[in-house]
Amino acid sequence: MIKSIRTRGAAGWFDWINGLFLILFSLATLVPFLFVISSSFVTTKELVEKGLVIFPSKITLAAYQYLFSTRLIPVSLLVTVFITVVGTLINMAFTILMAYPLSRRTLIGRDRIMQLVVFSILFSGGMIPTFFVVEWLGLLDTYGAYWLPGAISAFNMILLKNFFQQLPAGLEESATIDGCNDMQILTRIVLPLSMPAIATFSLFYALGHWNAYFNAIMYITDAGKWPIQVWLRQIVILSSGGLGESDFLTVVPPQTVQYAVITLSVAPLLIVYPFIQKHFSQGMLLGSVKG
Amino acid sequence: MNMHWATGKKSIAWMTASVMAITMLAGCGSSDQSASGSPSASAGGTSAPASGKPAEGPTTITFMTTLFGAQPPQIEGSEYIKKAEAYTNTKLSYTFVPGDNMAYENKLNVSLASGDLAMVTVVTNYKGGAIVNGIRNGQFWEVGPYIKNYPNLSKIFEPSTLANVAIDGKNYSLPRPRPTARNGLVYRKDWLDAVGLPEPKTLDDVYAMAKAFTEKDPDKNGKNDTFGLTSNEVFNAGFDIVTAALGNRVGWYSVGSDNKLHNNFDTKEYVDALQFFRKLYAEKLMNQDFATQKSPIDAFVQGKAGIVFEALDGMVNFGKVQEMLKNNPNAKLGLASTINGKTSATPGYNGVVVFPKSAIKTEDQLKKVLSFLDKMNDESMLLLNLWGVEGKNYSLKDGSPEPLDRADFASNVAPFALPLTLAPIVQWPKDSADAKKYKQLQLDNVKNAVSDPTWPFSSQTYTEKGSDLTKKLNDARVKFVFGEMDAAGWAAFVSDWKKQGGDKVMEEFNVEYQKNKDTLK
Repeated sequence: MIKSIRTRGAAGWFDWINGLFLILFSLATLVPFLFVISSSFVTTKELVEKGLVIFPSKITLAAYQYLFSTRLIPVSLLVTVFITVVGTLINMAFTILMAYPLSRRTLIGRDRIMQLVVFSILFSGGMIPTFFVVEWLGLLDTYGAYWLPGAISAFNMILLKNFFQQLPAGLEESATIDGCNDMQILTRIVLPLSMPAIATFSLFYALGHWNAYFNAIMYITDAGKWPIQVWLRQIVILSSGGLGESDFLTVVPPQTVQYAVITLSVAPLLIVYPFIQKHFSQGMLLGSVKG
Repeated sequence: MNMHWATGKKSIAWMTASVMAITMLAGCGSSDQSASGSPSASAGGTSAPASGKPAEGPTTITFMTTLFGAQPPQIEGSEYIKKAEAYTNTKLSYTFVPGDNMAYENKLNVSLASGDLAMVTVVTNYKGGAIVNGIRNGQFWEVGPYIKNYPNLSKIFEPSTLANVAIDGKNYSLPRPRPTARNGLVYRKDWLDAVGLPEPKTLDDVYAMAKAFTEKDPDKNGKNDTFGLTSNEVFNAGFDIVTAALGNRVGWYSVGSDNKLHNNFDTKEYVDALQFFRKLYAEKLMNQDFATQKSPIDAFVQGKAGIVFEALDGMVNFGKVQEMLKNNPNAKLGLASTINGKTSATPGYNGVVVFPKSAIKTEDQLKKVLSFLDKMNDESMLLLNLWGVEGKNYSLKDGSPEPLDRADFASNVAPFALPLTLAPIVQWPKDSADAKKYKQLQLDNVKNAVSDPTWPFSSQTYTEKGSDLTKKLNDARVKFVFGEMDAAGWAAFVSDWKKQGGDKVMEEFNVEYQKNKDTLK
């Protein structure tokens, strides 16, 4: 009996330390976010003097006023949302339509197609040939240049295919007996059963679209179609003095603006993430264990 | 398996979503199709008037350049563009590429491959980039023979700068010029007066100044909180200035008495230059964190350090330096262009503009473009390029411009004007005293600026291994200055460095030098 109390006591002590450690750990991941967000609300003077601001002594919206003084940043934020939503729908539609047939063992030439898919993971055409393809398809300066070059991630497609293969064959057979055609099996049986995987890959794709800037620089010359990441990058490089032309007095935006644009570009994701996190963690587990 | 069983409602929702996705796809396909027609049509639209327009109409000129502000300037309604177009009878259109130099180079390479370059295309990484191959393949106009026909272009460039931007001895580009005698020593004049030293002329003077700034409390605050030189791992412009001062050499190689290139690193003077910095470091007369310091000028503007080797114009115009002068009325800048009567030259340009044959189809068109650039460097246009719109960005007082809205200038004029302004130094009657001084120093010391003889040339090995060799060299210099390497260690490093490509680079430069040495003289 004494022993068990002692054990419990030791466990309590351990829990105490462990809890403290975990709290410190989560603070360590939280503080950078807090720092960026609060730095976007302080005056430039306070930021320069203190260096690190978690609790601003005076809240100001000057940095956001600077960003919203032109239509540029709000428009680019909308562009990013548009690219992400439509791009993810395109990604998922194409990925599902390719993954599902490939998951059926009866598909003719399945192995050959899979070999080609794997080949495309290992070898890519490179920057200039890809540019040519985009140009030939007439996608330059259109939103299509954001969506179509990477419409299917071969890696995601293979994972999704493997997920579909896990589904019991009997379900589909019974659906066929009940009179479902192939498309109906996909939409009524397979997809509803695959929601965790679909949520996971949607998030992967959405993150990719949200953070993309390279396609914008390569394929889009119309500044009105640039996503917010282009400006984020531009302002961050500019603030660190990377684009200086001393002969022409470049106006370097104050440091707070840098934090404001980071906050703006991250905030929508932070808001959306908790709502899909449940699917995400579950999906990861299912996809990875069985894949 | 803990499967997520969908309820009836959810499956209906999903079906709707997937139907939506498919309709969106269909919509997207058709919109892509219709869109695919429009950019090519508009591209045809911009090039067609350029080639087929009668001579009296405005000439369309397109530009591709870096975006160096936080916003793209609005070309519609820009007063700068209106004035420039009216003066030159042109129609201007710009493509701005955001991001850093790497992003710009990627964009340049794909545009080069696909023939989408603008008529006037800015190239930031010139000699090291793929553009050199394009030039050798004849994809760009040779503009050298035309330069003499234009009043401004013919006299605006230093001959050495034109030689430096030449490829195989021919000019396929116009430099975006910078002063050749650009570098020098910027120090705190008020500190120098406080410690009672004369203006520095020799390397010993610089050492004495650094010592006094460290030990004699030049800011008179009673604390031992100042030091002499602030520097980064390559000593900013300092290493070249010191090798110029000691040995009349700059860079990796110099021409010997046998008219061939020789390595600078085994000369006594080069080791002496290393010793100079080693002494500053050992006696704590320079910042002890120089090897990792990314922004050495911060210590200068914070009033901790008193000496910087830098581009004189860069330092004087640098926003933080101007702020320091404003906040501390006692602070005064001292400028020294030369040490021992010498300074290190710059190649005289920061990037170039090239004229692709894919965009400029005929010689006639090329002449129009060159004539446009020439006119944009007329006196009245320089006023427009460097000061912006009168009444908005500046006002004229006694014939001399005084700044009004400089922020508007930076975001709405400079991005357009930057690739067009080709004059390296323009003096204005009401320049600040510091600006007057650096401009005069830069003009006076062109003859005292020591050049690197390899600047006009390119080397395949350098393109491949140059950054690696540079890094190895920098690391070894830092080690020497730290005192971790002695003269024997340096000699061993140099012989190893030569084997790793240093000698091959020299041979390749030497072949080009032997071919071109007569025309360069």
